[in-house]
Amino acid sequence: MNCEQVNNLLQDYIDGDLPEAQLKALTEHHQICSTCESNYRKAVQIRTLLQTMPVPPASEGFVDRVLNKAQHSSDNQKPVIYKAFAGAIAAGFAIWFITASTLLTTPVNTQNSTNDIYKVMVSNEIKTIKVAIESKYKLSNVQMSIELSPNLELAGFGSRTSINWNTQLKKGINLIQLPILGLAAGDGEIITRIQMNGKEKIMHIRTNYQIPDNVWHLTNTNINT
Amino acid sequence: MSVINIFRAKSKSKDRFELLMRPCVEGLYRFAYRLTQSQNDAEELVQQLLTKLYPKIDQLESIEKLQPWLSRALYNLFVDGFRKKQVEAAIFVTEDVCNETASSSMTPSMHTDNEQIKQQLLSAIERLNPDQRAVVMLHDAEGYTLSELENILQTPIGTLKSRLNRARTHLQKLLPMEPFDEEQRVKGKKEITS
Repeated sequence: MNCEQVNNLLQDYIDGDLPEAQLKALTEHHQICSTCESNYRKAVQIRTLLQTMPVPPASEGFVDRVLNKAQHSSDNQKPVIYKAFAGAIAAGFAIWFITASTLLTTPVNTQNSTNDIYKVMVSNEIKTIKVAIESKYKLSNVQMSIELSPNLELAGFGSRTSINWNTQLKKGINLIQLPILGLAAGDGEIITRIQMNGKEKIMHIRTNYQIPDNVWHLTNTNINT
Repeated sequence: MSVINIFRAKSKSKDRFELLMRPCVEGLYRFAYRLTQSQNDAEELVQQLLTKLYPKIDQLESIEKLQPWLSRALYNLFVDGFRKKQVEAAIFVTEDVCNETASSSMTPSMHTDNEQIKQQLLSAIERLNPDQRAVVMLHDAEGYTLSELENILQTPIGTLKSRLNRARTHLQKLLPMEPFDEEQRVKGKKEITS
């Protein structure tokens, strides 16, 4: 029996599933091959460790808690978070919730990655647009970028139309506040990209800046005079 | 239906659900822990399952062998949800990762430290894909037979065996450790072959 054959039979050997003849041949091989013998010992060690690996008890009161919560959650299927979301939009903020799994299972540059589109009004006064990123888990080395259309300005960043930075996402809500200033009337766009491990999530905020009628008339009057 | 009757019906289904599920919760938690390797995640997984099942009390009561059925439902939930989570850390084991980890330098004292090895093992388990992790943990750690797992995981024994072998091979590659001393080795050998 050669090393490859022994290796193929290793797991059956550990499980005690080898027929007598193969068992004998394998044991003989182990006596003359230290590499295979060492592999075997390592496999046995892993198996032994796995068998002795404890399961910590659940947290105190878990059984009661989980049963009660099952009932209450089931009775209130609509998550409260959607109400908050709707309220936030009504207040003029764009708040996005993404899950880490959504982010990281969305391939780069696919149609799926461009589906999140929100609309907000902007003006010639700074308006804070809040982007809430909900991550179920702590994530490190996340690349964030914000890109603005030319008729928008990120207050404090001058004429820059894009900024990039490396960051971590904590577990839970991560809030980014974008102080946005409208520079010219019309539609605009803020694109937020989140990248990690070669995967990307893109979110769009479509903006609209309508100059009030009285401002427009005043400007015309100034020009004419 | 009057408000009072609705209330009574709700109370009744709550009692029925509790009566049916309470004896199963600890077993489910244990099963979930083996899949997730985390107390929090295991509790969350059980919670998700029970929340999904609560409205289906009538169906649950008609299931003959509830515990294996629940284990299967839990596993499916794990695969659906927690698998996605595991993708985050690009956990899928590749040969490159295996080789890199196996060749990482360890001091001799760390090699002989059993706790250290256990930590390494936990870390290596987390790197397995969910299917491999499930079978290695439920079979090797929890003691389910492959035929029991065939029923719970709804996967043919041949596939399970293949996953088990791959999982064990990955763990071997991922663990840069020295074998036990002679005494432990002989003991382990006897336990396995007996």
